[in-house]
Amino acid sequence: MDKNKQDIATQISKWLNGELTEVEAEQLQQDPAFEDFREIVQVGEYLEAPSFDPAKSLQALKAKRPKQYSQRTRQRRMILRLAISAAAAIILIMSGLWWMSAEGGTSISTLASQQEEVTLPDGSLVRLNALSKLSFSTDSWATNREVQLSGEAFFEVEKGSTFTVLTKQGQVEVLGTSFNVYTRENTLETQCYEGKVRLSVAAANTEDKVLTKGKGWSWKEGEWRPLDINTAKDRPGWTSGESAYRDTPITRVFQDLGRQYDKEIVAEGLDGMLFTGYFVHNDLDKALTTICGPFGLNYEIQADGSIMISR
Amino acid sequence: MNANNICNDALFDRLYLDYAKTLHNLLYYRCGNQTLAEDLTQEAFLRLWKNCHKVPPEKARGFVFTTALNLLRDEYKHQAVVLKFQQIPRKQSSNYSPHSELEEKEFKAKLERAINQLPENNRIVFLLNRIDKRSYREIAEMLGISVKAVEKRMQKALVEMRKISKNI
Repeated sequence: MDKNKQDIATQISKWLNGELTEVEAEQLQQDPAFEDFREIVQVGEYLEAPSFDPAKSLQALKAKRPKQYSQRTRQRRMILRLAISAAAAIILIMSGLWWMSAEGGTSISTLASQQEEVTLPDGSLVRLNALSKLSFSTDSWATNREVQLSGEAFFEVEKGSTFTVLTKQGQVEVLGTSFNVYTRENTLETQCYEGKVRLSVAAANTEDKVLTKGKGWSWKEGEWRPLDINTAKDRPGWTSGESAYRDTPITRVFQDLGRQYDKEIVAEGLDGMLFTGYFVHNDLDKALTTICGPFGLNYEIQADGSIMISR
Repeated sequence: MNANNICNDALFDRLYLDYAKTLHNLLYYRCGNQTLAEDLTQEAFLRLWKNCHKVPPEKARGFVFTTALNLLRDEYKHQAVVLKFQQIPRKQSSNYSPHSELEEKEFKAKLERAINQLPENNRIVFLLNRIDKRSYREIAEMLGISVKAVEKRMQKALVEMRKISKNI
């Protein structure tokens, strides 16, 4: 590379940062080698970046952003919230089941091998997988779209105000989209099939995850792990009779199978086996074979109906 | 107390109006996706808002830029980008020899193509300085590198641009 051109470029670079004296700058611009660079340096007079309107963008941002209060107000609100929670807890204890079945609260649970489709007050759809529970309040739905979930469910949320799914390990927030949430034991997983989803976990110093279509994240024991989604589909396989997995620990697969078929599955010492594939929901033997096959495992149905997996 | 933190609207809005456009452009220069650039800009400021009690005003800019660039790293794999620029309308007074309108249009397209062939790191510095008019010190802070490094990347960008435009 022509050394002279490199030197000129270095000079120009200094010049553009205002590091040359007036005399040096003059000399630079008189240098014949400078000509080749003149129009490059002036690119700002020809081109500008794609349009971005800060004021408009700020408006949009303010629509999304939660309200803020002063320190004192926040403390007062927190104390008030605690007081209300305490009062509510007392009422709950006193009323027991009667409170749950009153107009405000709704709770739907599924048993093993059962799936249930729930329609929320605004038309949003939730499909519950086996052994899962969904709770929400019809009364306050108009002002606050919030559900509690344990287990697994696929959500198709109508566009509207923020929709929040509360789970034991964290919460999932969306604005009208479709996504899957798996919350069992110490694991929280979310896969996004449409729109955008925000995943916050109940752990200090951990960033939220924002998911767009085709992205998934798993939060387990303090660690994030990305998940693969088959982006050709617009919903998870389990909603249509097939549970699909990619590089998933086999114990998790057996657990899901057990819930799906309402069978106890005893599978020990299978650490490190990662399953990629799927199992059907309508044929237990076929399901067991597809999972056991690749690893050379055997299954045996015991007298009490439970299934024992061995090498 | 609200007085000195970003939790009040006036301060937050000012920050946004001052820095959002540069942040957006930086993200765009890196990934070539305008929607993503806008989304991540908003996301970074949203997080600033959520943490407004913890982030002192003088650290706000650094927070927003670092957050956005980290988010971009999660979202986006390095790939060939195609940046599109808006052409500034032909000025009436120019201090260089007047070209025909077609010549100028072709020239601008040539510039755009050359920019797209620059290696990513040099391209970003070049554009932030020449188009967004940010000083080397500001660029250094945004990208977390030294001023000397910025100077070197600019020099490389200039050499590269010249080489490319001679060959087109």
